[in-house]
Amino acid sequence: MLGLTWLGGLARRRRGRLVGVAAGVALAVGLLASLGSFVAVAKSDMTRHAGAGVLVDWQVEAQPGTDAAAVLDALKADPSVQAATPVAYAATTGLQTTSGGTTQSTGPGVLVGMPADYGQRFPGVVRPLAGSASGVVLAQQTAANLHAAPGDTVVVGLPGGGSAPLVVEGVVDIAQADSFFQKVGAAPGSSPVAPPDNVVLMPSSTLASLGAGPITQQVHVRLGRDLPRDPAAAFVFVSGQARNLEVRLAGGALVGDNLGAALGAARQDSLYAQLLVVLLGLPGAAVAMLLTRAVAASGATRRRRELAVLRARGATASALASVALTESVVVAVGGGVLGLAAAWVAGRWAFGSGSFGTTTSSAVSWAGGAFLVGVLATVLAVFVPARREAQSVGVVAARAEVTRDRMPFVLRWGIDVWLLLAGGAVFWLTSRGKYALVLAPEGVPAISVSYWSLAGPLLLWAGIGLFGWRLVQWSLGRRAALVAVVRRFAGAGSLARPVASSLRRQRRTISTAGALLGLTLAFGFSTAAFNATYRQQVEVDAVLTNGADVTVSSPPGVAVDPALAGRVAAAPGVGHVEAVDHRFVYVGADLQDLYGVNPATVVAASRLQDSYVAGGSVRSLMATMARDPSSALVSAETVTDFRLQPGDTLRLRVRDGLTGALVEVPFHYAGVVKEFPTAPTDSFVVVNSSYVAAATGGPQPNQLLVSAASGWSPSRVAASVRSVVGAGSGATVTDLDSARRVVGSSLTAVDLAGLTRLELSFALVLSAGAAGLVLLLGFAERRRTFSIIKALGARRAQLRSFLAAEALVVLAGGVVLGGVGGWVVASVLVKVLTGVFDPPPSRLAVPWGYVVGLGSLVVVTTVVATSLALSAALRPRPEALREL
Amino acid sequence: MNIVVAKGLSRVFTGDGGEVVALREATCSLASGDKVALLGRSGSGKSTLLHLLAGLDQPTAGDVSWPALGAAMAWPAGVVATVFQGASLVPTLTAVENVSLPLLLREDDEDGAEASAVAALAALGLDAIGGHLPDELSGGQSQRVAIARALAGGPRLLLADEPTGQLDAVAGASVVDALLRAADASGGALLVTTHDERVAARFPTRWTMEDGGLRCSA
Repeated sequence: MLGLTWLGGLARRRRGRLVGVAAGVALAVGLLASLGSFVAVAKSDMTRHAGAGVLVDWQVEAQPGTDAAAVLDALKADPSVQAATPVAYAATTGLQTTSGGTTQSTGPGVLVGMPADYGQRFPGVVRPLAGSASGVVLAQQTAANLHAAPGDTVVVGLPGGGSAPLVVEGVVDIAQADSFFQKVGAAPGSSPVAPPDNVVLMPSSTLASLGAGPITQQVHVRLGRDLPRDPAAAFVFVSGQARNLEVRLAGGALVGDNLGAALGAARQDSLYAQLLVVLLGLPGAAVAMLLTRAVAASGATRRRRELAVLRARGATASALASVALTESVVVAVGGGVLGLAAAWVAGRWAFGSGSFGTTTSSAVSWAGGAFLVGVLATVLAVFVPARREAQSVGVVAARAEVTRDRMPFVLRWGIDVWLLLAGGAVFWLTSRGKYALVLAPEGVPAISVSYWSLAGPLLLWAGIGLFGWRLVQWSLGRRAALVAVVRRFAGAGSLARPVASSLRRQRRTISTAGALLGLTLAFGFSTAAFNATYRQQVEVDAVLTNGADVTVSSPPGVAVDPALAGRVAAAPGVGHVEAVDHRFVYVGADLQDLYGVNPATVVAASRLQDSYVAGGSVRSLMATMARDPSSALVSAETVTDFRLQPGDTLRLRVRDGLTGALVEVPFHYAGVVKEFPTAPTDSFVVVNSSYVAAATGGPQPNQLLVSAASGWSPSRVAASVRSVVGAGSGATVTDLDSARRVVGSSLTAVDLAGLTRLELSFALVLSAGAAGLVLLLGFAERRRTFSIIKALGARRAQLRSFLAAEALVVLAGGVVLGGVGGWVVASVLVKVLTGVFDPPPSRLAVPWGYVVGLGSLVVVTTVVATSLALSAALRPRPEALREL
Repeated sequence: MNIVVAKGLSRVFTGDGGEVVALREATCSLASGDKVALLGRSGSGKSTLLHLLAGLDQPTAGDVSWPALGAAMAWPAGVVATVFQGASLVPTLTAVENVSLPLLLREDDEDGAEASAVAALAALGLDAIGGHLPDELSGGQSQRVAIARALAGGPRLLLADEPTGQLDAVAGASVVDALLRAADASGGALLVTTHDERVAARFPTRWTMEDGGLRCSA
């Protein structure tokens, strides 16, 4: 009964405080629950993305002695199988063509027999480049090696000495060739990584008629996409299906599980997404809880007095505890429900889904967990302090508004310093050398996470907040300096001493508000900087993948029409065209990609960054290449393998443009290259295009890197360039906008924009709350003080100096702490989450627009809070006078 | 010359329980040298009248003016001083800082203001507690510090709301002595509200307040 009466009084008299505390709880619950929405959507996206990227889900290989037809029948009977098509693989001893009086020969290769409807059942695997996509077709590399075109005859060498002439009907590109030519059942790393260079595709019947010796029979399978939404669960599901099939076929066939492999990789990214939430979201929830505590604490003095009155009137400690419990229940339930509702709305707004999990149980767990955090926040903010006061408060103690300074125990014990040291140590231990935060070993269901690494940034964040608290407290203890500051910056004039004294004696309250604001700003700053860095690196990844805004490419070794570069340069929307000579080159026994560039122009045109190279800046290395055209940039792996020192001669075998024969060209090692537009992630070589052209019978530029003119989007420029290039040229045109949608891992495919929007919005609300609400409630709690000062004859400017000084200290402390802390935490986050970035960033990206906006918001809310408090102090309510 | 003149003052408060008439059509004036005790029971409207005469509140009806002081907004701090019924010290300032506050509000020299505050406290026998915070003072000490603060500014109009309400007889008597001495020294007007006949008996003029109505003669 007492609880309800108390509650009624709160609703009537202290509505602001009640709503403020419930809003804080709602913020904590809402942020956590909506992060659940992000994880759910991110996981679904990753599963979908991983599945969509796989063209052939399974390659089921019949084992010797097993009837391939039986395997096919078993697969067709499986309801989860949508398409199953037999594909035969055979070996060829070599291929040969004769054209223009010269004969071109290749080494051993692979013959593939497939049914005519393969392209319809598995679209995208075989992409026509010239001529027909069916019949006898050559892979593009093979066609380049043989100088063959549709209509030419290729002689296929057969095991046992025979050969068969076949008329080439087309040239095709084989997508995902690595898995298409995989050795099914081989342990990871035990089979060749690169697909074969020499490949002829033909109808199944043609291959059968060749009598090409041992034939490997596979069934290519596409599965239904009714997968669990969590990549880890989908991986277990698909892998289980594959193992189940193998068991059903009694070892008669092995499954090359391409879909399982893609989902396996997505598991890792999915965990990264969860860790992102932990690292970016938990501080936000913690700030919301601290804000709740601060709002509740702003009424502590008044509450203490009220409880003391109840105690004096005979209320027992347990009756007072029930009062606190009733208030806590109302705040927790109200705030929790409000938070979940807000999270549902925020989830739909930011991610397009209000669900808190990928399954009903995970959604309930996540929402329940968030609600429990709200309960915890309420217990810590309302119940525990009220219970403590109920047990200890007396009327005399309740009168105390200011106590002699006593350092909070966390600072007395130096916990801030310990946290900083521990955070630094964890960060150092986990980030030195090469480490992986998340490890999802291929073929193993379990995922390993170095959760310990997460402690680094979290400990640092907490340590910075507490250390900031200490610093602000310490600063407020410097009387002479404080008097000077308030005289100069708060317009205190002759009141500088009492204003400074007042601040000094409230140093604990004020420094708490400053530290809270600092932590909130640090959260906003670090989240914004992390997200901006992530976006920057996705863009870098897209540029590296596509090469430029728009890229025109023909197969390696097939030069684009020399006149084409000029025509592309003249196309509408084109800013600059940079020709790159992309070939394959033998470095020792390794076949690597070679990029011939113009060192004078390639840096600006290809947006090369210093982090892409080692041994000098990218400009200095290109200058070296311009001075010494025989300079070559190679991979670190090549440097290690060949024990290279700068200036060492490197003899590479490059195919001559005229004869097609491999010629040895001497280069000089000049530096290490780690990234280059369109280059693979493993080894490659960058050289001077003029030098390689002179040594190999002339230039063969087969990539045009096109920069868009100002105001033109890459997709518009691509359309413009496509109209110039034409469909019959054999060259393909790709653009950056499309690359952004397909680059990298499934994690980069997850739209962090929603998470960014959500977290940055929460950061804005929290910062406004920390700056405005906490100040305003603090001022409101001390309105009696301001009434006294006003009654003593204070003018507007004089009252303002008391308010402004406090606001100034909170604002300055918060902004400095938020800026420094945010920078440190963002840098540590980027380092800890290196695995998220591809390539790793060379520097932190700071979204100054958001940062300035956040700062402005905090300044504005501080000014508004101060103005409202001033306005109230200048017109005290009659009740305030009666309290004097 | 009259320091304050009130004509037909009424004050009505509106709250959850409806309207409360705290003061009805009060008319009175105080001139330099006047020393008045305003007697009345708790809730009779004494504090409301005092707040209106101090310019801290606005009447619902009627008019109040300060012929010798000018418009309320133009007074230097401390010219009209009020000693409130409850603890009215700024909790974050020491006794000396509280007493010097009105002097600093009228932009006196900082060191001079502090010296005056120390002297004012000493005059009331409070020199030992100058560095104490209000929470470290007893009720009587707080009240005497508030009186010292009111006196430090050399007020022309000194209004004290139940200044002896929280004090024992001896302490109360010394506070009344101090108020009367201060009024003599400044030549201003003094109005003290009280429900204690013994306190009222020490003043040459007595007004009474009953249910919001004022009678300006005993």
